[in-house]
Amino acid sequence: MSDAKLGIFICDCGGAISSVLDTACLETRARGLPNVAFAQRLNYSCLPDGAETITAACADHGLDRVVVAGCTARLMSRHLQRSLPVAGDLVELADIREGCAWVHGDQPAQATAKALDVIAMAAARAGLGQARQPVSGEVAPAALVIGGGVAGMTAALTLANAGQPVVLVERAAALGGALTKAQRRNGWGGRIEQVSRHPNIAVALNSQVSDVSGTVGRYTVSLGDKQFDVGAIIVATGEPLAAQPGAGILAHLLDLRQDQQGYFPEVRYRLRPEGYAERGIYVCGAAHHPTDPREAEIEAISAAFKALRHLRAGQVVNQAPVARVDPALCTGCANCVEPCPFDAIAMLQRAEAVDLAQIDPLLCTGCGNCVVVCPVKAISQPIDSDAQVLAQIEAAVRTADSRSADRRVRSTNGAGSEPVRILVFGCEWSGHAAAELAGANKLSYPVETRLIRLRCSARFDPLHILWALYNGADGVFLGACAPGDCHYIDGNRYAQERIATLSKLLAANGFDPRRLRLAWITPDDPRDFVRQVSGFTELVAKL
Amino acid sequence: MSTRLQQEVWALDRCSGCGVCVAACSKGVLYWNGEQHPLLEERTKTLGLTRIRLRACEVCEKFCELSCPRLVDWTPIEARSMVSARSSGVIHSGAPNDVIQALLVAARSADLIDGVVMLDMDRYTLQPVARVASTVHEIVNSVGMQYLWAPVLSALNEAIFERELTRLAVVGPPCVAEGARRMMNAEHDRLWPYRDAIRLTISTFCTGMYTPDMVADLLERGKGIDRRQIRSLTTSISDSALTVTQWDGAELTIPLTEVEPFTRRGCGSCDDYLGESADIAVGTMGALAKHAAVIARTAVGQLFVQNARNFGLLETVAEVDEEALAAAKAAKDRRARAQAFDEFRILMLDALSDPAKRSRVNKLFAGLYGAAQTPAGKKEVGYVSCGGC
Repeated sequence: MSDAKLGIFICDCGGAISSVLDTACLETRARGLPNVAFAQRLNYSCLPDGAETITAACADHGLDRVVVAGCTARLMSRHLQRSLPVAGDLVELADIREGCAWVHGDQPAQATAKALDVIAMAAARAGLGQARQPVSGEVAPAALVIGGGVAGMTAALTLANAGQPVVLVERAAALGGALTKAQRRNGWGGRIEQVSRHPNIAVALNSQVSDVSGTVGRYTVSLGDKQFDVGAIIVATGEPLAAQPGAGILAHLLDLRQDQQGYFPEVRYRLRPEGYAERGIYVCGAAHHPTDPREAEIEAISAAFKALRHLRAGQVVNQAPVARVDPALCTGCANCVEPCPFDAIAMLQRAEAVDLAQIDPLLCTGCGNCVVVCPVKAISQPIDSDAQVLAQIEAAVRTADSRSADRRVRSTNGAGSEPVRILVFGCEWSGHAAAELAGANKLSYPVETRLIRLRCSARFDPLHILWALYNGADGVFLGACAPGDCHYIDGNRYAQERIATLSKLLAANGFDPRRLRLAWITPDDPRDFVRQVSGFTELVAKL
Repeated sequence: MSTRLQQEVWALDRCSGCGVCVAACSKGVLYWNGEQHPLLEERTKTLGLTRIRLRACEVCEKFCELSCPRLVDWTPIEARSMVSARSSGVIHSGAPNDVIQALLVAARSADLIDGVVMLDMDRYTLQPVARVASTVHEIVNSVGMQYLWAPVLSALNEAIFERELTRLAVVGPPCVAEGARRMMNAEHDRLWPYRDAIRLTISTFCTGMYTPDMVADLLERGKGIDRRQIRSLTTSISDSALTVTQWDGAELTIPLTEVEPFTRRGCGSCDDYLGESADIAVGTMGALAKHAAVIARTAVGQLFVQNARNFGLLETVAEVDEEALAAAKAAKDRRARAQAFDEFRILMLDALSDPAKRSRVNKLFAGLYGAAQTPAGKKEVGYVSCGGC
């Protein structure tokens, strides 16, 4: 048992919660949870006096972790994590408003029971929580611009005028790219002059990038036999990419996605997980779609300013819960290398018996795929650690005395009108987001559900699911992003494979695989979430 | 049907490919088709136009389960003696294969054995084969194990029942020694012919066996080596490399990471590097330069080593880097953890329908996920439930 000292603060939310849930009962019951040193009801935790009360309680009772039971984490966790005196990751939110009061208003008793479970889950999670350590790295104070057309020249000039040293690489013997003679006469020619004379720009004509190595913040670029370090790379290679033999190589070197015509399309920013380190690689001009010189110019300036912000920061910071390898446990099996969607894992070869997996902390986005893949659990994450998720599962399914596998064995023999217990694992970008939205819209869904929020469906661990079923969950529902929408590239594909395998194993062991379902959930369609979860709960209740 | 073999070994990619189940199957329904594990033959009978599926794999003592080395936990047999050795007959060599050959030739000459079941390479197709050799000539002519996989023990029936050999040595990677050891310890009298015939097991140190297409895909296409030029392949744990020796003497070292994709899947969960169930284990690790380490783990093993020395076919020096060998053994603990997780999964699946297994699941859970978890008993007390007040 950990020696954490937990404080639990239960919001009435000005009646929004207390009109449905019996918060006084929750307060009393919460005091009985493991590791809880203090529990109190508040009107609003999110208002300044709420934060003051919590801060004072932390000082008085020596609390080192705080659970605030109120609204969803998405709404208030940032605010509370900033305003409370414990490390951000040690503040947990138990969602008893959108997750209970607003969706189970017609069943106050069951909703209160669920709220207690939700608080117990958050408390179990907080008790085992660790503060994440942001990882930072230096940014090399120089930029590389690939391509000497309008976009490349403009980007180089913008950076150089801001005082950054720039290397401009052009494949042809002269600058200017696809500009016509007329265009050169009509003003664009001056730009070529400016670039070639600028003290901060080194122009390399007749050159091609032969290799790029290194990682975020410091890329080592090879031009023939010359090597230098840069912090940012701007790709402005111009239009007829499909015809250029070097384009594919460049895409490979810089790990850029290429479309069918050979363009480098934009990264879908909406699908980018927050908080991970900026790569420092930008595409502008006709390299990512056909442009005229004016458009290329604007894009180049935009890309250059993005690069400038990155370079001027001087360091890259990765806020993601970076996965770590325990060298004492790693078997060197290399299973984790290929599943890493961001190529952050490599094997370190050693003279002794086994190689070791190594995770580049700046490239890791904390999706958790490697944690699931690792056959010995030598890889761990500070957030959503195995211990935390397992403790949450136990808190979610073990509470009621009647819950056990024995009960299920009985109920299959015909006794079964008892309430079921459904565990919902939700990717925070889809399944869980839709659940929160359902709460905000006060769309009712079955009160038998208990939600666990994870960063990505890649983190749905078959061992966790089995542990939930083993501990008495009647069904496990998994909400993941639809194919193509994964914020960690293809975490949902991994989840799909794993769940298919697990279903087969369950069926082979005489366990009804219909009790396990993976569903594609759209984050902005709460009605679909409600439909799917309700359907699943009904099905499980009938089994 | 043997569900244990299908679910606990094949489905989890744990099959080592030793081939012992194929030999032991009383119905002869298991066969190889270049797969990661044996296949179950579907037998049909035609009556008129009706094809009836025969239940070939039923009503059986499940000899496959009695023989499969992956279904038991292995405790290593402690080494009785460890020496650095090299062959000193016609060939002076410290290559493990030559040392093994010296041991076998001496044993055959002294009539301690009358045949060998071994992993060999066919000289014409250059494919790995499971071979039975019964004369000194055949033993000397074998190329030896090249870390290319073939189901060695599937040849046991040819040796014992067709060629009627009665004193066999079995040579192969550690999993083959384990398979043979299960036969030697067999309690079922139908397996006694195997038990009585196997006299000696010799294992090489092993980091994993490769599927035969490794030669074509990696060495021929990838590295441009003609397979006819390959004299031998050796893997070394200490250098993490595969060494390809060619007939012209040239040597090429390939990092094991490159060879990894060709490793048999079942090798991923194996935890025996050092042939810990064999009478004699032979490998380069821990040996003096130009020698092979020879570990005799049983009295029988010691006798065979002494016999080869008496024949003047083996020179030994009592000097071995025990630390290096201990380090390799330590790696076993890590793999054991991987197996424990596998077992945890299987047990949880079983426990869903069989509450009797719950105590083992809880115990394993505490062991794997550490002391951060509260003991199961306490939890029930700790969590409170809403009484609906």
